[in-house]
Formats: sequence, structure tokens, C-alpha cells
Amino acid sequence: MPVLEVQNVTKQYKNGRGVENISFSIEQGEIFGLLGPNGAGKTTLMKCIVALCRPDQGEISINGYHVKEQFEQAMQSVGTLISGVEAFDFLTAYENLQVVSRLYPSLEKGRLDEVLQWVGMEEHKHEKVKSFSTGMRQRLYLAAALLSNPTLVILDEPTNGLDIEGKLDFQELISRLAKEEGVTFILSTHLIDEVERLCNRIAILSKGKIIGEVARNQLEEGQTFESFYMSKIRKGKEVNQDAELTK
Amino acid sequence: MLNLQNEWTKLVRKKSTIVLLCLSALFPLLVGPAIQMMQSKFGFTAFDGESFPLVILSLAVTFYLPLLLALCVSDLFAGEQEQKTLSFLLVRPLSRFKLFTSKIVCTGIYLLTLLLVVCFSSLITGAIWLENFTFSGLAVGILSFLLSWFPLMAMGILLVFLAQWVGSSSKALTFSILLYLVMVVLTYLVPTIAAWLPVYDSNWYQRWINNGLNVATFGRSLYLVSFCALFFTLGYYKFSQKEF
Repeated sequence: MPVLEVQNVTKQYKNGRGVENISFSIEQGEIFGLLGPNGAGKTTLMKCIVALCRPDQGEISINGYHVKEQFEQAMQSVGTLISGVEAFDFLTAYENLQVVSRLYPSLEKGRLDEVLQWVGMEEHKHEKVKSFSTGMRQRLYLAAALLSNPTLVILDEPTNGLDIEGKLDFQELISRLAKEEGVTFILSTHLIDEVERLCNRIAILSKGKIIGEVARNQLEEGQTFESFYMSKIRKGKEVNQDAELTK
Repeated sequence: MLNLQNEWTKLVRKKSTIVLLCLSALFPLLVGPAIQMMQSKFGFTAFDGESFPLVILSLAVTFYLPLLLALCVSDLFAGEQEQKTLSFLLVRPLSRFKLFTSKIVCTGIYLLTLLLVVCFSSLITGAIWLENFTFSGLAVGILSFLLSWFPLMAMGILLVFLAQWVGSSSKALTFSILLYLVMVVLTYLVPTIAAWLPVYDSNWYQRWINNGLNVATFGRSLYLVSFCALFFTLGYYKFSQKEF
């Protein structure tokens, strides 16, 4: 059974943006990269997965639970870091994690400190979030995402604002969790080197549609995720230009 | 109610909440001695220890508590949406119904806390500063404060419904205050519609003290329960349809 299954999901906003007829599935332990230019629909798709947006059509299931009808069961094993979602800045980092941990009654004691240590925030755990830099906030959000021992972690541009050391620590952590604990990741990013290092499989989103999908072992000799991405994006542009000329 | 403790923690960790609770406690403590001084100076007795808590209550339910209620509701709903912190909880295994309900229950507890703070502060003031403080007055005072929770909560649920339509706490607060003022004015200008509005029940405790449980108070209680159920349902529907 796939950890995440997205079937024919369409979400259109009034301004014409959104995603159209998106389908893919992710198996346990995969690190799935979602790539695309700005405004391609990556964040919309991620918001649809965690029900911050309601798809106009299509179905999403996590570990066999439908997100729409069985939201609580589906989200029980999901960790999220979605861009634009903020922590409570008048609380400390530790208090923010406590807020999250109360929603997972079976969480063992000491887990909060463990995840704070993973993201390098144990020294700042009693500081209020309003004093944090963007990078420190990202670390906190990552800690919140990993708090519940999730089987699926959804990360929307997780290294935004992180310094070089933070990015490398983050990549190491993701790789370790995927390999050793079988955690599945869906990762939306603009950083191609991050994708090259981390992902087993990628999908390319452009103008709300998936225009290409490839696993690392399906790449041709000498081909990288970057070259695959560029070839699909260029091809997409050519198709659009042809369509414009035909009109 | 997994999220209730979260909502309460968030509320009491805000400086504004603590400041307002302290002001609520201070208000009767400052008014009491002032009244006593005026009464001694001019040689009349307008309020005594027995009636003082009810005077404070009538002021609180008409002006002060609706404002604090509007502040709390606009902060918990529109404010969190504006600051994008609402989504921080919405991406957890917590249904929107549970989140919405926990916020309303938290508002109810906050309102009860405010009423009790004002109640005990005015009772203490009445006992220390004013004459004729009796135990029957004490019992009536406590009962009146507790009874006032219900119509104020109905007002709170109406404000929760309205807060779903705006995206910022300042707009929600302004809108709530304006609506409250319009309702107050309407009760005087158009008395025929007054009974449909929750502000009609600002003297709710007086009706219970004067009449006890009779057909009129029972009927009015049923109306308020229906009012709460209606605006809870409408508010939840709007909340459940929101996209972030």
C-alpha cells in the first residue's frame, strides 16, 4: 500500500492558478521531490494533501485513509512543514512543540528534547519564537514536523532561510530518517543540488500539471535530475509557444 | 478536548489577557472606595455592600464584558488566521470541528473567569468598604454573576460566527463593537425586535432573581439555547469551508 496516493486532484483558483488532474503515489522510505518554477502549483498541491485547501475534484489518501473523510486518522502519521504556516511567536520553541505534542497523546516523554536536538535548537528552546531568525523558525517547524514519529513528512521549501551548515544538517537528517527508520518524504524545493543529493524520485510540475516524473534508477546514463528537469521545462515552453502560434 | 489546554495556554500567555484580568479585578476595588467617599461627603447612600456587586455586574455586562469577549473572539479566530498560526494546528490530527469547539469552550471558560474575578473583587469591595454587606447579598451576587454567563456566551457565539467573515483581528473587533452598538441602539429604537437580539438579556440575572424559573424565563432560556445552536452551526459551517 502506498504511503501517499494522489488521484486526479484538481484545484483551480479564481485567478486561474492551481493544479489540474494530478496523480502520483509514494512508497515507504522514498524521498519524493516536487520541482517546478514559481507559481507551478507545488504549495497548492501540498496544501491540498493536508486539507488546508479543498480540491475541486480527486482523492488523496495517506496510509490508506482518505484525507477528506478520515482526516484525523490520515494525519496521525504525517508531519508537515508548509510555507506560510507560522508558529505562535509569543510562546517559546518548547511551548510551541508542547502545543503540537498535546495532539498526539501517545507521544513518549523526552521526544520534544530529542527532536529539538536533531534540529540543533536545544539551546534556544526557552526563547520566544518572535526573537527567532527565519532559519531558526525553519528548524523549529522541522522539529514540529518530526515530533510525532511520522511515516510521511511533507516539506515545502524546508531549507528556506537556513545557512549552509543548517542545510547540510537538514539533508543528513532527512537521509538518515529515510534510510534507517523508513520515513517517507515529499519535498518541494527550488534547490536542484538538494534534489540531487536527497531524492529517489522526482515529479516536475509546470502550470499546474505534472509534465515529467522519473526515478533515479530510470535516469539515462549521464543524465541527472537537473538535466531531466531542464529538458522537460524547455519542452513545455516549446509546446506552449507552438500552441500560441497555432492560435 | 485535546486542544482545549492549547487554546487556554495561548490565551493566558498573552500579556493583554493578564492585563485585562488585572483591570477587571481592580475596577470594583477602585470604584468601591470612591463611592464610599462620595456617600460620606454628601451624606446619602446610593449603594450599599449588598447592592454593590449587582451595580458592578450591570456595568460589566453592558459595556465591559462584551468588549473583552469581542477581543478574545477576534484574537482566537480572525487574529490567528491573520497571523497564519491557525494552520499550525490545522495540519495536525485534529478535526476542524474539534478545533472550533475547543476555541468556543475556551472563550466560555475565559468569560467565566472574568465574571468570577469581577464578582469576587466586587464582593470583597462591598464587604470592606460599604455598609450593609449581608450573606444573602453575597449569595445573590455570586448567583447573578454566574447567571450572566449564559446570555454573554450567546453573544460570544454570535461574535464567533461574525469573526469567520473577516480576515484580521482588528476588523473583527471593530465589526463586533459596531454590531453590538447597533444592537443596543435598536433595542431602544425598535422595541419590537429587541427580544430577538442577545443584548435584550443584559438584565438576565434580574429576571431570574425577580421571577425565578417560570414560563417566561424558561422560554427565554430555550430561545438562547436555540440562538447558540444556530450560530454555532453557522459559524462552524463557515469555519469548515475556509481555505488557508
